[in-house]
Amino acid sequence: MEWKNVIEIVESILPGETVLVKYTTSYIPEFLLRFFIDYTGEKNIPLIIDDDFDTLYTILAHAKHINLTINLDRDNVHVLKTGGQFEVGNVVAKVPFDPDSRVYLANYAEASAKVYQRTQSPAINLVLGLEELFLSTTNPLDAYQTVLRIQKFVGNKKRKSFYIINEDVMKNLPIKVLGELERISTTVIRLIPYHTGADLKVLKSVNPHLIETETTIDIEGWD
Amino acid sequence: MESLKTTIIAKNNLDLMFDHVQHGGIEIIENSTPLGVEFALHSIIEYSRHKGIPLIVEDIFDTLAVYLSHLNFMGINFEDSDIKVIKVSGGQEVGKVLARIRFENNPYVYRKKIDQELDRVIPEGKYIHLVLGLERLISLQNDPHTVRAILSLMKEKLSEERGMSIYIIEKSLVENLPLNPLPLMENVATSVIELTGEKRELIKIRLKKSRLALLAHTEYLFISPREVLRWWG
Repeated sequence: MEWKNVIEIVESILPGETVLVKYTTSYIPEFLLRFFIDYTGEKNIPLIIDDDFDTLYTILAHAKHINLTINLDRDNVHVLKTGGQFEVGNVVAKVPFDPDSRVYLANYAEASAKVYQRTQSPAINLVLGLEELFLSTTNPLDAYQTVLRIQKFVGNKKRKSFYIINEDVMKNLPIKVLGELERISTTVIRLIPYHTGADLKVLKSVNPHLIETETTIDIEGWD
Repeated sequence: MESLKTTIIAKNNLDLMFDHVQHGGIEIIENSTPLGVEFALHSIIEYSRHKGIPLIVEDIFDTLAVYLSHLNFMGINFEDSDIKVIKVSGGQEVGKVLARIRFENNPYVYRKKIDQELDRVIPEGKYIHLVLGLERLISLQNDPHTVRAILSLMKEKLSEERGMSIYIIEKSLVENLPLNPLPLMENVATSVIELTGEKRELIKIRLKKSRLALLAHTEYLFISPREVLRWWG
């Protein structure tokens, strides 16, 4: 697998940035997780994974099915879990989901602040399963409370965040917030899958050098 | 996997395709072609018979009867014993009905009953669990609670190595619902294939999320029901 161009993009992302990574149905999340684990492991950067509603467990099950090795058991990987019942990786905080977004978001803010306090900055934060958080917020006000919370994290230099989002899922939910997520993000990346890889394009970036950058990730010879 | 590099799939390759997904997990077959579900259903029944792996259809609101009657018009009939059925509401009984459960407003109660029946029907060994008619349930209960339940129950099945769950979904029946759960279900499924079109009696299969696509280095396969299943023969 050739990730050189992706590494260049990730390294151009500034501390504090919120990056939206859009994809459609494929094994893209599995390969991205593998990439971020390898990358942060080699550079010894803390990786904080937001695992919402057992998405991490789902990704690991898929990876096993396609014989893709993913080893979460590393000192630099920490998991911040929301909802769900299957714990995988080093879970450092658990936030029970509450349909009242104010309750949930307050709990989340408290738990995440503790996690970031303990880790060296800037960490890489990978957010998985956010779509299901929006499925679970049943009125527009709750959905917007969540959007506003995400917005408040923009500029927080303790981390660079990558939100891995299935855009078809977001477009098919009753409350549409994908546009808002694109607005508040400092960088928006789109990945279009093909049978053995994906085409990447930077659609938006606060960094002029990144705008319209395109590359291809081919997973030839994965293991 | 050399034999799969041809994009036209012959009969023995169809078995190979199923063998590849027969590792447990969840397969979604999305259909948007006129006889796609009939084709998928017939293929699964043949595979189950051929390999001796029991097939249990979760038949929601009489959906199985629809496709079996179409196949019957095409001269294709099955023994009742080929298809074991758990009926979920509805009254049109086809196949070998092993259990009847009522449609439940609480999806968790509903799923618990299905799981109990599955355990009773197949206490050990491999099995194929085919869900038909989920579109009808989702249309009647188009709310986040139901969708969340479907997703969390799919997740519970992800590590089931004994049996494979297959959901056949008619895409046009769900894509215009206020809450279309299909992309969410695709995210959870181990594999997703789409029957996208017919061209001169060939069915076109798109390997949307599939181990097979990685191994065979192709996104599309064509298959001839006339050749493979002796349709219109």
